Amino acid sequence: MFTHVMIGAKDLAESQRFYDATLGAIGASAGHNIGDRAFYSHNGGTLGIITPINGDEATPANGGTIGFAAPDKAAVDAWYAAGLANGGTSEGEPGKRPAAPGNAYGAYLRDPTGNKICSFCQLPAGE
Amino acid sequence: MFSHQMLGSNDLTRSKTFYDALFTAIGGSPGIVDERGRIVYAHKGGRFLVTRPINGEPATFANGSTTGFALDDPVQVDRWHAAGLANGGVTCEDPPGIRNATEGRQLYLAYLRDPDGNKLCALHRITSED
Repeated sequence: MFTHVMIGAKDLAESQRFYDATLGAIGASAGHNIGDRAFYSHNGGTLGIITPINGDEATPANGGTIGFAAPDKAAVDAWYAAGLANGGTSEGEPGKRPAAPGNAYGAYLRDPTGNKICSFCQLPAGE
Repeated sequence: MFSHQMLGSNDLTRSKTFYDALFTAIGGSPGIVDERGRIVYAHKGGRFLVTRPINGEPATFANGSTTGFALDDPVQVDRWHAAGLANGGVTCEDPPGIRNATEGRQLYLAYLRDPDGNKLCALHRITSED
């Protein structure tokens, strides 16, 4: 469904450190910087982080969340820890998410700009 | 890369009209309202949700953020854009058309703001078959 998602960054270098660490924890390579933006491509999707083209400061949405797919529980935990260690703040500790489809396990963070993001995996049946 | 995307809404009825039109214009189905009142669209392996903010504050759009949807061909991009304009969306950036990207690639792009101001993009990568 998605080609790409762009996320605004107040400080591109700071956001790149954050996404290098968090997306690295779920298997993506480090971001490719091309000036005012950096791109991450992984498993057919692309995330871009960008300094807003209108020149105003990047601001987070209220109500919006970008969900990243993780391969397993350990990757969700590593994603969350990497975020906290690289300028992110917790928006929900790793744990089972019974309201989400399937046998979901997820965690929530705010990136250094304040954008709300999460990482989810499916646990094996019975876990 | 993505498990899902969620955007905020201040009027879910208005949002459902808008996004139902976008998804049906590209061969998808109208959204399903889940037990939390969120509108859920499942299309080509992806999940897209529209929700009232859980903190009770008004929904606001991000500055700098855009959600990009993968479409099959330029006709579908044009349909997507027209459906959005006819159902409460507002055009932004340049009109639908070809953009030259890096490394000689060409993209067929269209941009909309949804009724809450969230910025959306429809993208088709031009190939020799177009």
